[in-house]
Formats: sequence, structure tokens, C-alpha cells
Amino acid sequence: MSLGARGRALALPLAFVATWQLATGILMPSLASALPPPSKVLAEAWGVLASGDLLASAGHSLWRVLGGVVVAVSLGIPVGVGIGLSALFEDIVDPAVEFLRPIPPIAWIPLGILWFGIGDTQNMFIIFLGAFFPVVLNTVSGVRAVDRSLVWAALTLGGSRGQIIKEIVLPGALPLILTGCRIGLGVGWMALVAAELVAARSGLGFMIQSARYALATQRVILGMAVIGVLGLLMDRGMLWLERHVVPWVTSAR
Amino acid sequence: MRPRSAGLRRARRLVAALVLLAVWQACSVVVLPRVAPYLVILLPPPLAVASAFLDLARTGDIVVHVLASLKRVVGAFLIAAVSGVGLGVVIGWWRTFGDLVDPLVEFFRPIPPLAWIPLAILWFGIGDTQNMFIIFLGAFFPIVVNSIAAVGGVDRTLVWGALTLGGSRWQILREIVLPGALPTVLTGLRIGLGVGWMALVAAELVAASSGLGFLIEDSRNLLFTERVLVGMILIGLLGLVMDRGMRLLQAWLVPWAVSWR
Repeated sequence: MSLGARGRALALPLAFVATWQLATGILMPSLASALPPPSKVLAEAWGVLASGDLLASAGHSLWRVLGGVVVAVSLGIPVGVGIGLSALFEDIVDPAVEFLRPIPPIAWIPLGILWFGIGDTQNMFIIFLGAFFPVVLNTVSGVRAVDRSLVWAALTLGGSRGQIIKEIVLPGALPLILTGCRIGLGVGWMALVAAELVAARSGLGFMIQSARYALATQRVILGMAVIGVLGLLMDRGMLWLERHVVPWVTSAR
Repeated sequence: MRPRSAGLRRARRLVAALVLLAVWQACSVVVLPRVAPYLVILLPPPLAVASAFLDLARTGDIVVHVLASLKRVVGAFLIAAVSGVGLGVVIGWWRTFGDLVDPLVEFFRPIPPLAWIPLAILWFGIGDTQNMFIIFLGAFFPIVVNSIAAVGGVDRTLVWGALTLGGSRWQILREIVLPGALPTVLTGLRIGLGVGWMALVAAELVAASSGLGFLIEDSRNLLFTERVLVGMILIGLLGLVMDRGMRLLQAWLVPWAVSWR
């Protein structure tokens, strides 16, 4: 990116932040309770960083996402491989999957609260639901996209079923499996925010909801920014992983 | 992996679905009460869910909630569709403008719509405006991003061909870019509607006094678990119907670029 292009890319976001500061900080300070100026948000960031509150909240959220997504991936990949390989397994499992899949993970929150109460288990359950279906569906597509002639060649050479799954199906399906994990992580992160808004006593979603009750709008905005940045970092991390694990798949986004 | 008759497979799937329902019914009616009677509250049997649905349908409550949710989604989605497609086409078509505005879109895009809920409550209070703002945010970004990509993906040779034949900028935009971009734009609209529906449920859980999201949260507070399940199933069903509707629209408008699922 040339210097000029970089300047153009930064121009409007900078102008936006400057206008925001000018409007709420200097011209109309009465707006500041609904929309505090960026300088107050930065001061808040410094405060909660120093007190350790921000790191604790982010740590709780990340721990829940990690737990929910790990369970979703370790269950979703075997289920997806099973559906992709066996028509019998597909016919048994698919009706339940098709019935449950359209229900958004967020709609499970009230039932999740009844089942697990408030806290980590409920939050992780919601994240699990958000991440599970993208992982399963992408794994199924990945398994179905595996080149049949490779499977036939392995059969001809006397490969067993286990060998074919391990040596051909899984590596062949890996690019789409990783895409499913990335999408699952994104949906899981969004589901986490909703779950923490309603049913948690820690984490970033809880932080912005309790800051709203306290009318600490600068902390609400700070929390939103942190949620956005962490989501972006996780997505970029997964893209980096995809590029390094399956470099032969050239997908820009 | 051998191909089997479609009839056998359909029968197997039907049996699997019925067995699942029967197991759920038996589990709720026979197993859970033996373990501890209160557990039935946590998972009412499917027949109780069906009768709760009939109750809600008879009193008309369900219609009120469904209409409240649909009204919010349709209103916010229309605003997001018009502004999102408009902005996306302009960003994708007019490069100088795009280079300036695209970073601002990317600045806001990573923030999930649900993270706006507390701020939106502070701004708009509880009710329609707040809910529609959250749905708008959920639908807007997929629509913009897909519209930008759609315009960028239009075959350049067609544009050059039209330029060679003396087409004006406006003619090229109308005759080539917009029809060429339509399939991806429609995909963006479909994804946007899906995210908007999910965002609506979250917004209604926290900040509404009507709608399906409110119904399931309110029923949870009253321990009407069968109503929670009715609401969840309706949310899933309506989402599915909207998705299918958008796919039909795609099949009708851009039949050359349709892949089911």
C-alpha cells in the first residue's frame, strides 16, 4: 500500500474520531452521557487496564469461547465425517440436525439458563451451539469434496477404511474443516456476547451490560471496541492458521 | 457409499425423526419424573409443547408476538437493504469514494450487532426503535460487504466492451454492473436477513415487551418451559421460511447463479 493510499484509508476514520471528539467533548457536552468523547473512552481504558478489570473480563470471555469452541470442534468433526461418509449415519442424524440448525444459538439462552443456571456452563453451552453447526456443515462439504479417484486408488492398493479416513479423507477435507472452525469461532464469539449480556457475572458482555446500568457509557463503548478487536484478532489468527496449515488453498478471505 | 433408493432413505429419515420424538416423550414422561419430579419442568415432552402451542394459538398471543417480531425485522431489513446496497454499489463503483469510505465500514464491522445492545438501550430506550437499530446493524454489514464484492466481481471485459461501443457511465452501471452484481447482492441480502433475525431475538430477549424473543424470556421467568420451546421452534421455523423465501427470490431473479445450500 502506497503512502497516499494509506493516507486515504486513514482519512475518514480519523475525521470521524475527530468530529466525535469535537462534537461531544467541546461543542455539545450535554451529549456526553449518551456518547462520551473518545478522550474519555481512552481515559477509561487506561483506568480499567491499570485496575486489571479489563484483563479479567477479557480473560473470562476468552476462556468460555475457547471451552465452547473446543467441544464444538471435537464433536462436530466426527459427526461431519460420519454424515459425509455413511448414508445410514446421515439418515439417522440428519433429521435432528435439520430440525435444530435453524434455531439461532441466541434463542437457546432462556432454556440454557433453566438448564444450567447463570455462569460458565450456560455461556459455554450457547457458544457450543453457535460453533457446532458451522463446523458440522463445513466438514460434511469437505468430506464430500474429496476426490473420489484418490479413495478408489487407495482401495485398489488395499487400504483399510481407517487408513482411507486418516490418510485421504481428513487431509482432503481439512481446508473446509478449518473454514468451518473459523466461522464457528466467529458465531461463537457473537453468541458469547449475547449469553454474557443476559446470564453472566463476569466477561466482556457482562461488563458492557453492567456499565449500562451504572450509566458509565464510556465503559460500554470501550467494551464494544474490545469485543470487536478481539473478534477481529481471532478471525485473523484463524486465517493465518489456514494459510500455514493448508497453503495450497488460495482463498483471500 | 453405494447409491440407494430415494424411497428407502426417506423412510429411514422419517423413522429416525419419529424415534427421536418418541425417545424425547418417553424421557420426559417416564425417566425424568423417576429421577426427580421437578426435572420435567426443564424438558417438557413434545405433546405438552404441542398443546402449549395450541393454547397460544387459540388465545391469539402467538400471532401478536410473531407479528411484532416480523414487523421489526421487515422494517429494519428494508432500511438496511436500501442503504446497504446503495452504499455498497457506490463504494464498489466509484473508487475514490470507495477508498475513503471503505475503511470507515471496516472500522465498525468487527463489532458484533449484539454488542451494541446496551448502548442502543441508552440511546433509544426499550422497544421498537432499539430493536430495529440492532437488526439494522446486523443486516447492514453483510449487505454492504457483499454489494462491494459484487460490483468488484463484474466481468471487466463486458465493461470494456460497452465502453468500446460508446456506452455512457450511467448506461454501463445500469445495463452491465447492476445485473452482473445482482447474484452476489442477493446473497448478501439473504445473509443479512439471517443475521438480522438472530440479532432481533437477542434484542428482544433484553429490551422488548413483545415479540418472540420476549416470549421465550418471559416464559422462562414464569417457568413455562413448554412455551419457551414453542417460541424457539417458531423462531427457527420463521428463520427457515425467510431463508427459503430469499432463495426462491434468487432462483426467480438470477436463475443462472443459484446453488441450493
